[in-house]
Amino acid sequence: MGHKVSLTLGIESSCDETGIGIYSSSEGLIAHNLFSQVKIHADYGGVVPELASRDHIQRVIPLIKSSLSDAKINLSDITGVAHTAGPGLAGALLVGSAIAKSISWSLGIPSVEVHHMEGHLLAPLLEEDCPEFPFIALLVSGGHTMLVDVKGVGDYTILGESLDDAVGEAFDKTAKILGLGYPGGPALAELAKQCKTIKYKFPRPMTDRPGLDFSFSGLKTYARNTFIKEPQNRSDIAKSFEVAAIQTLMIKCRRALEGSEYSTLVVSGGVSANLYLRDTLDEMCKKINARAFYPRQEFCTDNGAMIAFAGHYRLMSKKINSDHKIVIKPRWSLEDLSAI
Amino acid sequence: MNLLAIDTCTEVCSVSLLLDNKKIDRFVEGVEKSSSLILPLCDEVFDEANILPKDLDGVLYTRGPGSFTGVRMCTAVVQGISFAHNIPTLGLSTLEVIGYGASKKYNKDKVAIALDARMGEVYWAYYINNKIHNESLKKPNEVDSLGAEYIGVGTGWGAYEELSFHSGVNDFISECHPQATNLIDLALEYIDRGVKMTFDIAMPVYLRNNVAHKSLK
Repeated sequence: MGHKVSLTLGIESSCDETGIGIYSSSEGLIAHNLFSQVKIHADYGGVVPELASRDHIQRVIPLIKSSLSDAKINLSDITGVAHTAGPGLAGALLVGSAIAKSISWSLGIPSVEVHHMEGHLLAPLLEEDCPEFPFIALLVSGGHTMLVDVKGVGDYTILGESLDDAVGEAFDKTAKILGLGYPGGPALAELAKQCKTIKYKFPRPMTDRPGLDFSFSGLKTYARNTFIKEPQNRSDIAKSFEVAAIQTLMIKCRRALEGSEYSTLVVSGGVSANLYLRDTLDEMCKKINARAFYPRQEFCTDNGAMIAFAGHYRLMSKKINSDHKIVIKPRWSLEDLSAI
Repeated sequence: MNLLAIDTCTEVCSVSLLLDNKKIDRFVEGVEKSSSLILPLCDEVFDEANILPKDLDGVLYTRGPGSFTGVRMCTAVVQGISFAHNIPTLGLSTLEVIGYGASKKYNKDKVAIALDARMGEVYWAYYINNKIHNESLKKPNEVDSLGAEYIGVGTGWGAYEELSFHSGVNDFISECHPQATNLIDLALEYIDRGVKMTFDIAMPVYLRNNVAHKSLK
């Protein structure tokens, strides 16, 4: 390793996935590993915070070991540690943050708190063909639905967000109504594929008024009421729901792009894995001479790569943090971040 | 031998650093967030001792029971320190550390330890002649019947009046907490008896494991 190469270890443990990434200033992402707790929580119909924390504490160190081994480096080569400090589940955040801080303290290297959503927002920049600032970001997951004006790293203005359920949450809840288990978002998308024509006209919530906020809870209720009336039409309901939710996202993205005069849209978070969403947004962007960027499929969900990457940016810009307090911020607005 | 001991399992936070010829202790009561204290305390004792984490021969920790978050904080910090420099660890029961400390402090052979586990339960154990027995999660009316020759220690005694009746223990001191300095002394006794520190990953012991109910749907 050259003397000036920086190697950032990233640790993600904000919800139900333990993720580790290692980012090199000279070679880019050199390793990443993930353990998903989906099976642990499936029986409970949702994430159980205490079970999530109990699992994270068993996974972090083994995943770091695998990642170091994959990258063919030693822990002593690491020059900085980044950890998700929020937003997320307090107990889960604490595990990754405590391990990160104790490693950085022990090795005498800097550490940095990373905002989980900044990780998602920057994830498409890990790709070779990556977007340039400024852009509009659509962050869509089980916990968030957000449109953000991104002028640069850390320079964020939230343009709109969900007033109730996040879009991924609405997917999961609707899937549950249709008997698809938990987490059912991807299963709902699969079921929707069986339906070639759209039978029901579901509402496009909050698109008939100005603004960029979202609301998905009514759409979920609409799906439930339709299912009660016609329970035999599961795939039609799945398709109609998916189309309504994604068209709603598309309408707001278009509105945000046109209001900003940017020509780049970045879409990230778990729901950005949805292929119908990608097709719909690509088509819309084409019409208005814009372009959409997405992370690779495996980086749509929570992961350590994006935390290592976002941490790398912040470590490069920041004085060494000599404060050894383990800080978590379960509620943390993107707008509270400082630009670098 | 340089040993670091840490405890954050309950409402106190403590660190003790054993060097060849001295021990440096920190003990803080009434802690709301040990997360903001534990590493700064470690930093202080290392500064005072003028050594670095890599100079450690072992890391000792209270492995639980205690507050879930506190127990995990302790274990997570130990995992990081141990992994950073490949240092072996030894985790001992929070109840045993309290029992050991109380036995020395009050010069008693028989100690009944009860930590308030909330939800109408205590983390329970008793300590006789340097040995811990029956570590468990109990309702106050389920604890061992021990007798008046025991001294009760731990927050459970203040939280549940009926403990005294059911255990037969009349004298108790609620304000008795785990301390890293006792953890060092207790661990040294284990090590003298041939117990080895381990390179396995430090893990918590919660005692309360029924923490979620499966969906009926």
